[in-house]
Amino acid sequence: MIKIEATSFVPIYEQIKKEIKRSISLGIFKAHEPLPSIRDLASELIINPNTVARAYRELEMEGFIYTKKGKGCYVSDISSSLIKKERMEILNNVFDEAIKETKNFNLELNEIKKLFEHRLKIAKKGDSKGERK
Amino acid sequence: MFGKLFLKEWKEKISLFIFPFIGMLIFVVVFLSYPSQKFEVMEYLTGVMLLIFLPLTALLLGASGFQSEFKDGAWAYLFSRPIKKWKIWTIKYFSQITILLSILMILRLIIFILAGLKEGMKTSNFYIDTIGNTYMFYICLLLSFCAFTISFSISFLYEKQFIILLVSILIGSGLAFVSYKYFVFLEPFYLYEPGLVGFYIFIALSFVAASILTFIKSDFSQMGKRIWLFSKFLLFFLVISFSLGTILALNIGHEYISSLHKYEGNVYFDTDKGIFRYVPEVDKVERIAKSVSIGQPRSIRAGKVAFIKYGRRFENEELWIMNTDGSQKNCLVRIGNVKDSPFYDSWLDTYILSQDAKKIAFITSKYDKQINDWRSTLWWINSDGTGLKGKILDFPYNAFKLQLIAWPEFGNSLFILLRNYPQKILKFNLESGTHQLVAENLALPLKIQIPPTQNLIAFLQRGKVRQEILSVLDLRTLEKKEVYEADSIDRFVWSNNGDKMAFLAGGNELIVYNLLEDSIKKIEELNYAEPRWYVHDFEFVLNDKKIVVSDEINGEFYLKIFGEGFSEEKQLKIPFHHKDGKPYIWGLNNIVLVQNSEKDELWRVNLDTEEWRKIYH
Amino acid sequence: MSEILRINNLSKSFGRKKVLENFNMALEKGKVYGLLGKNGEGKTTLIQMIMGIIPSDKGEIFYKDEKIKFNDTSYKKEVGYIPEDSFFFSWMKIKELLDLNSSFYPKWNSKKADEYLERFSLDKKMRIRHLSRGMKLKLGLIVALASEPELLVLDDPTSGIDVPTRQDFLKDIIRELCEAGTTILFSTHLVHELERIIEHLSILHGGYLIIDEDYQMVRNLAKKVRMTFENSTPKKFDVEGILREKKEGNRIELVIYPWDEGKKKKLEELSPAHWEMEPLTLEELFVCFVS
Repeated sequence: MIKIEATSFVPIYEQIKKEIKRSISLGIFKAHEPLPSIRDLASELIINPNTVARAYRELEMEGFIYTKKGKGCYVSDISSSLIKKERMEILNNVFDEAIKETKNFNLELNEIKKLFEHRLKIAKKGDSKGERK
Repeated sequence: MFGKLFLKEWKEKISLFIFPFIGMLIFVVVFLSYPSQKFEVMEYLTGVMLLIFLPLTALLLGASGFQSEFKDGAWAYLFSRPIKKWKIWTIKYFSQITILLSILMILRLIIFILAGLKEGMKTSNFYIDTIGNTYMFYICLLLSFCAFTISFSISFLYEKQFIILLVSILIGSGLAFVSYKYFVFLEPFYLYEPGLVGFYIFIALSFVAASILTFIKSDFSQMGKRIWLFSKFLLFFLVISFSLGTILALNIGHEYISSLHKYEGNVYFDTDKGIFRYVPEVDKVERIAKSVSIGQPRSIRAGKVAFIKYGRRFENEELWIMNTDGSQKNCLVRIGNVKDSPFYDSWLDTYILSQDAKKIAFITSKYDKQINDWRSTLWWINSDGTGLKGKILDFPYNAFKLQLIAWPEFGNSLFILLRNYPQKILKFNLESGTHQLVAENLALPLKIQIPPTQNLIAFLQRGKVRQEILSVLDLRTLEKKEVYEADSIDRFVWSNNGDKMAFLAGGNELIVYNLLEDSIKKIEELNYAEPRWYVHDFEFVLNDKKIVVSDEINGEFYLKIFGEGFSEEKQLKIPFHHKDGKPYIWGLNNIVLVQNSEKDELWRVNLDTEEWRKIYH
Repeated sequence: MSEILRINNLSKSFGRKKVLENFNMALEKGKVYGLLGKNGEGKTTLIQMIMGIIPSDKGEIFYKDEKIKFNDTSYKKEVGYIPEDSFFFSWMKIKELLDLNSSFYPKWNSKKADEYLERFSLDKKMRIRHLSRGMKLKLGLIVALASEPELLVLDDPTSGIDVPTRQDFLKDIIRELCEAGTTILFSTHLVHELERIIEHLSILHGGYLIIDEDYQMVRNLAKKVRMTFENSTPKKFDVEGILREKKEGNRIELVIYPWDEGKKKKLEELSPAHWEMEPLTLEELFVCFVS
């Protein structure tokens, strides 16, 4: 379920951290749910277990997970503010990426705004129309 | 670890068993299909199996020594294991050589069984030589060991087995040939086999040493360097081998002591190492001549010793003369392969010094094609080498069997013994060239005993009813006296002053004959010798007043001394064991020399102090 | 002691050809080292010298701070080795090979060997000559891992193996890593899968290591810059460390190592119309470094 890209600029452990945080904030990983063991995750992703270990370590330091001795790592019961904060982080990253792209096209700020609203409308229409393509 | 690797080698090489197996099968089939009488064929066949087939198998086995490592490229694998390289080498070697040994054992068993199956074979030479003697087996073992060791040692140098095989055959036979020639060069008189065997073993071990060192030190990815390194090591070790072999060859020998002569209070004897003499005054053995042939009777008279020295490969014999202390050695004549000499193509049969040692006489024989027989010539020459004279002997007798027995100072005549039946003693006049019969009907043993005074000879003659007569002949007057007659007279010796003689009659009676008094005195009844030729040896000692006899009591050997009234006075225990009957002794006044012929030792005992000492070994 | 292996000034020539010259390398305990190099550039030679299969001409090798001489063998008890084309005695059965090896290594874990055999569906009675390449690779892995090594040396074992088997192989290595913290030296010219597991990158070229760095650091410092120019493209770039330059009309692609802000400024000064930066795969990195 966790996917990583070896060739990305972003270090692998960062990618793992991001993915896990994302899953937690989206409610995919629930509180007190066990995370895959270092060995299993490393094995599945075919990456160095040290990398996974580092990701887990930092996640624990940041409070997103906790370790039960001998049993493994579990998702923390984190407060809603933390979740919200994470969600904001994610969205911020997404918007920053989009803005970066627009720079390549030399658009004016107004043009960017218009484009954004246009896309929002289309998206909402898609939702209300249900599953129809 | 060793067990597993050992097993690995056996499993790997199991397929190689096919070759010897087929060979042995063919051998068995051929052997059994030949009629029993053809012993020569059996011998030949077995010889081929042992001396050609098995060493060939050994070569093949050795050449394939590292084959699996080459085939599977297992070098890197093997060397990356935590096992020392020398261990890899030695475990492989010993595992594979045990394979070879088991094949040899199986073959030996087969031969044994086959020989037993063939009726009447057990008495043939083949059986005795091959089975009974194990001589051929030891040669087979040696050849196989060397063949295997050499080919194994070079097998890791190159992956093509065929080349390895070829190279090992070349090197192996080349070295065998060279070392044989070298060995003969060092020891021209006869081949002392253990020495040569030692040589071959040293050479094989050189290969082992060079191989292990190269194996450990070389870089496996560079074949050229490997071969070069091996060659350097091999050369080094071969040099050492040859040096060791040389030392071995020059220093060991049969050490077989033979031809002991008493002369003027000293005892002269010879071994592979040369001529020695024991001087009782200083109680020491000294060497007076180096490296001569053995087994040749010597003539010792008037302070001079005559002896024979063999040339290379027995091509010629040289007659030499020297003083009894070894000084002033001089070669008088060379007989044999010497061109433009009267002695060309002749053989030396016998020689003797004149009583004053101013002259020496000798007989040579040469095969004469015209008469299709051997022809003998009697020669005599001055001791300084001048004045060579010769006379062809026209006795109608086989020349080889002539022996010069005495050359007394009077009358310019020689006494010659004819050893062929019918045995005779002749007197030969040097001036006239004529000869006359002096004694005949001699009995065995053909031992002529001459006292130090050299005017008499004692010998045995056959009596009318198969009896033996001890006779004494005066060389000047040619008068013969029959001293004693008995069923058997086994041994007779003169005293040191030449006026008495002791002999063993009837197998157990020790009798003394006094020349001056012309009396016979029975001394003692000794035990019968069992078997008959293990006769007591006896000698006169202590101013000829006592006789010492070597005897055996319950497996232990003693010197018994019979004193003035010739009653047993003393018993001295001989400090060694002797299988071949009672040991030989020589009496020199108060010293008795005892020979231990089993170990080639000479002992002496001082009759006054009863102290024993080994004087030569 | 944090260094399990140290190599000082190693040199090796074959005849006149110098393969390694003043080669230096150090391996820290517990890390995964990737050793890349073109075929024939000396990776195997280096590893064979580490494993005591061939001797060096000059230089020293230290295992756990103790100098190793050419014929020392005790350190090999702790080193697992998987060469390219695992050569074994092809007539042996798997069981025989394992038995033989168990006698060499004091720490041999036969239970582990059996577990792996089962996992790989290998029958002890099979003869090695009947195994496929992939099976031989697995067998080589079993032999290396069952000895419980502290250092695992792999000399391009996976070349010629299909991708799924390669992936399985790597997974097993990783599993081993998790359990034992083994130091791994992985030499190969097949670069692709290494990216995810190595912690340290060494590139062997011209007889010595041209790159010998923490892998992440190298990645961070290697950048691929794509620039599009409106007008004419500049002929020369006043920037050091350009490993590769590709030109396509108005587009230029530069691979630069090591990257820093100064170089970024210099390039920006050239006012490209368009500017993109991409990370490099290990493969691209390798190719750039050795050409």
